[in-house]
Amino acid sequence: METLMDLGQKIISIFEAVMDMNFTSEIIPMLIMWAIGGTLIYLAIAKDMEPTLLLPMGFGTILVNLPLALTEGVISEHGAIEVLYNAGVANELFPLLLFIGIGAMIDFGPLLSNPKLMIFGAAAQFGIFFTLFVSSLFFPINEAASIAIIGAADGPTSIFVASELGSQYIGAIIVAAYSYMALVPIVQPPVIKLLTTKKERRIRMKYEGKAVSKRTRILFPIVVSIIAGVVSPQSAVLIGFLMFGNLIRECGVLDSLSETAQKVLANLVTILLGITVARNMNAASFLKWETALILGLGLVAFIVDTAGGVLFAKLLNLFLPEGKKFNPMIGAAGISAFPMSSRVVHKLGLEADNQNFLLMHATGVNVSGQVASVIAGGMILSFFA
Amino acid sequence: MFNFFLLASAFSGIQFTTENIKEALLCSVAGMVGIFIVVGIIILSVSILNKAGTGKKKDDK
Repeated sequence: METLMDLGQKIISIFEAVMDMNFTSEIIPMLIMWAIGGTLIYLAIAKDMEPTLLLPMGFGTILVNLPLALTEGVISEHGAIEVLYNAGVANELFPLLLFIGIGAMIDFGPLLSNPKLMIFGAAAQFGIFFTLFVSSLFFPINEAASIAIIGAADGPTSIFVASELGSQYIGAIIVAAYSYMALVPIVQPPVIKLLTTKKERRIRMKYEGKAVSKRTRILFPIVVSIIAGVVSPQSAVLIGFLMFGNLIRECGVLDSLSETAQKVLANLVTILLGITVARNMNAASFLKWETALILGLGLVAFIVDTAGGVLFAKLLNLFLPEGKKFNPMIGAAGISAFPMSSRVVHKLGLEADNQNFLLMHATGVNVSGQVASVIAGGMILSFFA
Repeated sequence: MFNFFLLASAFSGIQFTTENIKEALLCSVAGMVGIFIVVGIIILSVSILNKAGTGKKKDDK
């Protein structure tokens, strides 16, 4: 009976606390965040934009903005989301586990058969460093670096780097990174078209499709991990987990583990990651002018990444003879957003010439962008962590 | 342009500062150079791996 009385008292005190909420400083921000959460869910379901992450994030956004979520609910000290956050995001465990899944999903074959394409993956990271420079005008250098990594066009890398640098804007950074990745088919084409002529978009590239030996496929993840670890130690853990996943895929004796990493592990971590990163989407930390600025800077990063890749290809073409020139559009696929970016380039190639098949070249550049973006993340960490 | 930033800063409360600009610029240049170096080494390694793989096949024949 006493317990029931206590429970009643508790419910009454919560009800009173809710009734005491200030309309302008608490209720309106809460409603705005519900609307943002609803928008993310809408984009995920109706527009199929990165649904695996935007849906959990949208729902999590609503969850962490429920009345008294901060003091009594999901993000209080022992709340479920806070516990998950500390267990998987604050210590960067979830992004690394996700990298094993991503590594197991990637076929580096197109890159291994034409390794020189990897240079475009490097060039397309220019947006990261350009954005670092611009962001430093508005934010402390560590925050600027966290924001710049949106240009990696790679969610786990963004989460890892922003967490490692202790960014207070991690919520906005993750929203920007995943939103723009989903918007690659909208963001990239105008930039590519602006920087290339129709004649350049028509350049055909012969695909030789050289066979890659199994030994090369197995040694590639090991060699890349060693090189990254020696040259850029801060990227060793990121590259290492990505390449570990790829080694499981390519070794040929761990098919069930490879399948588990690609499907079960990746899906499980994505579910937890999506809902957990929403912890930083509470009104107090998200509804700031800085958030709008971060979203703008993220867009700049994606645009400059694309431009960097395209212009670098055009630069190389100046020194190449006719018939050996690159279609400059493939440079844009170095942005890492895999596989959307390579599909965009392929589609634009077909638009300019219906017999211009760029998919394999673009895929090679795209997977190299995945590796290069992780190396860029390591570079950023080596400078600022 | 500078005035626009100052105005926007005053309105939003975001500080516009140029004190980090040198460090950011240096890190940006070093970062891009670093990526090209790492990627260059990886390209070289993959080319060697491919050559070794091709050589092995020829030997097998």
